[in-house]
Amino acid sequence: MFKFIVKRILSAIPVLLIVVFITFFLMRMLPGDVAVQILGHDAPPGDLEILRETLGLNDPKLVQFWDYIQGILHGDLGDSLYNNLPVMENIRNSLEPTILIMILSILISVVIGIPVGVISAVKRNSILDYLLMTVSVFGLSVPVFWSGIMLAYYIGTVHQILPNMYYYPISQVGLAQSIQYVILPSVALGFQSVASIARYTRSTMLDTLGEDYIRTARSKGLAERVVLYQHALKNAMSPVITHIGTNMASLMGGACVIETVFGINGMGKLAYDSLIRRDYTQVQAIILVVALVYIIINLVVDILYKVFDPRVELS
Amino acid sequence: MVHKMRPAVFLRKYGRILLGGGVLALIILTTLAAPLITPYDPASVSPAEGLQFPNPVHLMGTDRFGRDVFAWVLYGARVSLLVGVAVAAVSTVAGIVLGLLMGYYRTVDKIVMRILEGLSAFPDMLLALTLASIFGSGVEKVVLALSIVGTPSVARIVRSQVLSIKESEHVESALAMGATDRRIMFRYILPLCVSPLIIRFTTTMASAILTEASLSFLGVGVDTDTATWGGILSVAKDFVITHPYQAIYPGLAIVVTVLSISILGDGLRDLLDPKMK
Repeated sequence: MFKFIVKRILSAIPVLLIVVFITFFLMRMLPGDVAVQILGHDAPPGDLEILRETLGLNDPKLVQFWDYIQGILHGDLGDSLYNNLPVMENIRNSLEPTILIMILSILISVVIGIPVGVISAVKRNSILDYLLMTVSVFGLSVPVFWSGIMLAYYIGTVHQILPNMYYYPISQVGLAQSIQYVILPSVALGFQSVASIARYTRSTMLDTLGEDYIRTARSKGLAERVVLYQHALKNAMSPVITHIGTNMASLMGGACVIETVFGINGMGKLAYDSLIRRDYTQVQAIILVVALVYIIINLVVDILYKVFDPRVELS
Repeated sequence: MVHKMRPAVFLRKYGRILLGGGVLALIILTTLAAPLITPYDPASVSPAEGLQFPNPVHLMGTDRFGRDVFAWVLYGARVSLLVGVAVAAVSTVAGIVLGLLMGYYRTVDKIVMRILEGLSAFPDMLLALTLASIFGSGVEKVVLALSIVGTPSVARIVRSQVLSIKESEHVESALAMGATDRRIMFRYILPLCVSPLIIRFTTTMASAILTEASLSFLGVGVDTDTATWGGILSVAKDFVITHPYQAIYPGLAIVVTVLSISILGDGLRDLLDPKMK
């Protein structure tokens, strides 16, 4: 077990390195000059040159990369080129709404998606199954930014049930208030994953229901309810949980869009804004943090499998 | 023997393909016939006619620049469908090549798989945003950016198919007959990957259309003078409180288009892959 965990952690290192490498060079390929972005278009060329020199932008790319890697190893991801604060501080300041949005949207998609998938699988090929699956395709077909705008308009503006914009931190308005600000963006974001989770649950549930042990459970006279929820669902869940784990990265991508729509200063909007203003170090740090979280979540999911289901062979 | 199907069975089997494909065909027809349907040029700006509510002249109203929303909705399908088909085609071809190489040669697999794992840890929207910013605006550049985002999942599908088919007896017999690697890949393995690839094609197309809309909405997609649904929505979002119709119709156009592609894809999946039922 210990050996497995160590091996699994070691295998994550090359992935992280590749993420760092790809991000670093993608950022350098972006058109536009950071110095011009910071000082403005009519800054004197001399000043621009001095700024480039201090930011280290004149060094060869590989030297810059080497410096960057060394910084990471010392826990220093650099300062934002935009506001000169350490990039990690900017991330910390924007983390709260994003975490709330992520948790809430995963919750929404799981609470709706899994029951829908189970019902569809149990009532396979019925009208209900057909309807549920068709509605769930609908969720996959709505662009997140548009459902965000529509929710903000109908629920936030016309009916004024929930705030239609911005976010105020828990320390200012309290948790109950803060959550109200993230409900609409989370619904918009979660709605998209409802569909994929429902479909995933349906297909793994169907696979499980075809297994021999389910037939055994039925033939020994167990109530259908027990067979479904205690025998089948439990076993059908593991691939679904993996799916939720791997869905994390795309959810974070959706956060970039939805936070921008709602004017929420979270990590997603920070990523988008930083990309637009060519704040390399900030974008690099965000992608690194997201990748790290993604890898850790998937690592934990893998390890939990091993703990709960010793049959699982993991290479 | 002529085999007659009961209507209910026929519908269950082909209903979604007919529905999805039919709506999609209708969208293609209307966007091609757009100049016949509306007299307005989506690009023509007349601020004097700005922000009109839907009326007999401007069926879906006008935006702040006086551009006819109905014309944008009609013409916008061109870019969306073009981007969708092109991205799906490029990703499929690139994914096949990459997937075959990965499934067939272990060294290639080891290297490329690591890169793909790295890429999957990227938020895909952020990757698309970055690539689109690097390549600049323009349809072909957006296609390139989205194809890079779409290729890994196709490659993974082909790879896993190759790995399982490689061990099968008909490949072994081909090997025994002295077939070359290339012959085995293209004559013995690739044909068996066709159905998952067709299904994946529709998924890639749908998500490319959605991502293109998001990119244009955020201002890093196709240039702002070209009629795109995301483009008009980015203008409309600031007027949604007073003039919601501007945001409603282009959004619905995206939903209907992507929905028809997804339903078509579902129908194809049921037909081609009985295991997925």
